[in-house]
Amino acid sequence: MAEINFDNVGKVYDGGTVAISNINLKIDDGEFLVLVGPSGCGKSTMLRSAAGLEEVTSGRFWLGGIDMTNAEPAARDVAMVFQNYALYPHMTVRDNICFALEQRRVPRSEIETRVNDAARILGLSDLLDRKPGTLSGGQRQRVAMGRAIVRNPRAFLMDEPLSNLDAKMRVQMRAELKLLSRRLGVTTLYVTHDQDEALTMGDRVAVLRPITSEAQSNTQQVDDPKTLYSKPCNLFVAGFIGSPPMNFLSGRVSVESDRPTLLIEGFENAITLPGDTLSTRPGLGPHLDKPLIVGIRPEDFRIAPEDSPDGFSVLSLVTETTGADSYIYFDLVAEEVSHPDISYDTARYDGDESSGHLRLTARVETALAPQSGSTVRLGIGPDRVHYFDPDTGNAIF
Amino acid sequence: MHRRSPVATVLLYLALALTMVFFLGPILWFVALAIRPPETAFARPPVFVFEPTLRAIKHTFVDPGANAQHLTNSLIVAFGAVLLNLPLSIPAGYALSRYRLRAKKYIMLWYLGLLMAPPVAFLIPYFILITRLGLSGTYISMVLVLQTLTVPFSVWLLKSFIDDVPVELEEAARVDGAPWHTVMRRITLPLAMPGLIVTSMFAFVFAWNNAAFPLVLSSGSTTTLPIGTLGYFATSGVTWNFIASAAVAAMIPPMLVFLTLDRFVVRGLTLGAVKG
Repeated sequence: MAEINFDNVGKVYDGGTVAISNINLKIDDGEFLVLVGPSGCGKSTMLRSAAGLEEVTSGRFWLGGIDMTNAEPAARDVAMVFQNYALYPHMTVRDNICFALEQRRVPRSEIETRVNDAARILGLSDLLDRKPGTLSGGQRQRVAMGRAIVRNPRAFLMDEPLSNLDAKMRVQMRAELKLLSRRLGVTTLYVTHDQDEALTMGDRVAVLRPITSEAQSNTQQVDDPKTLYSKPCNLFVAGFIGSPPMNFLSGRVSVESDRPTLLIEGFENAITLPGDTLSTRPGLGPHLDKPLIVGIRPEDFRIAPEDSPDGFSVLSLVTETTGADSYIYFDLVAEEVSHPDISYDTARYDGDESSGHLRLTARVETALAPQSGSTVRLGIGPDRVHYFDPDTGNAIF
Repeated sequence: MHRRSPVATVLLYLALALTMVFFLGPILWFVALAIRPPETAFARPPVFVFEPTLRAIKHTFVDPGANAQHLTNSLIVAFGAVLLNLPLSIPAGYALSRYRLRAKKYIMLWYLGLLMAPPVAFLIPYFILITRLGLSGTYISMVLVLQTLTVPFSVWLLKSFIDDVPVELEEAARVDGAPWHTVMRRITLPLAMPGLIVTSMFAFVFAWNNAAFPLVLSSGSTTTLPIGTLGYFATSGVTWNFIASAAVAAMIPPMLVFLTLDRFVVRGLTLGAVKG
């Protein structure tokens, strides 16, 4: 067991492509840290660098206080779980699990004990003499886990280990994996593109993005899941974490008759903010009366009474129910917010004139949700609004 | 599976029968040649009814004399060529499969070029080279020179077989703590085993069938079967039945190789089609 430390790590491929750059990330001993981001964000490169399968081109990589930047994979004593499991197809489950122990010259009797222990923990005892080809996806996944835990390594490196499972199995294994990791207390670096997986499993989550001229480092925000969701540090994180994603609108905060007020383009009425807004969000001060990007999560809309002064009436284009909650898709008469980190996917319900319309999503209780094509009055929770600087894209707290 | 119509079945079997005649006809003709009186070998019109004689067969299989030595020599040279072929081809195939090489395309084409060049083109240079090395007339000279034919083909074949071994398996083994030679021995080569077998079979057949190199490189005690057979072209006439009988004997080893290992050929050809 050991802490992992990426110290200004970068990787440039031969062709000049920058995969990762300026990575500074410390994972505590026993911590479960998830790397999440869209494809090309460098999360797999980071993991492979940590395993020693990829050479970094700058910075240092530390494992348990030892500089492992140039160490061979074998010398690092980390266990990796691959996306496609990478089980050795010509070996039995038992041989797959004990391969690493044999390489480390663990005595035969101890191998026996450890393999049986691992098999018992993972429910593989009856499968030890089978070949991987005869196992189901979930069983293969367990064998891959078994191969990792039997070694008692310094750290686990997991590369989308659940992505090849069906949805139900994935949710089940998610919980098992999390329990297992807590029980073993081994430092874990876990890569996924699935934000649900990231938020449910990680002690902390690192949101990554591809390197561009604007983004000089892949790491955008590293926080516990709750903070990541409630206080995203910039537009990229705000738009990436949350499903359906956060709604972005143009707005401005001003003080009218001593009350802070939020004006949002396309809203019928100004929204009166709580009186202490400017003291709880000191960052807003310099942005008073200046254009802002306003972010509202779908669940921060609520059904408002007909006569509410700061509500607004909308036409639900489509109402989708997911069970307890429903999504209402509606348009506001407003321009789409233009920022490189905001992308709109309005193709979904198109067929109507979309220019000059801003497509938004609200999430409300199914019992209160309107039918598709009918009108509903919505309000927002004024203290739940996110503010972003339209130039830098950074959040204003 | 849908059922074929009767017409389609008849046509299919007709096509198969014609193919069989095309491929098996010459072999049967040779077998017939071995047991017919030599004077009728090239009679016009062809003689189909004759009194079979087992003299040549008996000479070849029961009382072979020099033929036995030729057969042994052929086996030594062919197996020697196979044994040298793999250690040369495996690293090359592996490197071309796994590493990012700038000149990969050209190296592959160069191998292909070697494969397409007529072996006769190399005869004189090789003869001079081998003679200067003092290896003329030895088994080793033929085994070495035959690599010109076997290695290019084997490298191409092995590259594609190693391509089919997922690189993640090697990476997993490295992370598991295995040094490179263990990765090769325990993971890559066992998984490419059908490829190694198919490659060896083709190398064997190439070496077995080759007559050009032994023609200039073998001598007396190391003469291989195809060259030995030339001895039947005597001044007293060509004993076709003896030649045909020797040719039938020469077909047997490759046939045995294919019969025992054909399941690997099929497996080899479909490797990678089904992800396990």
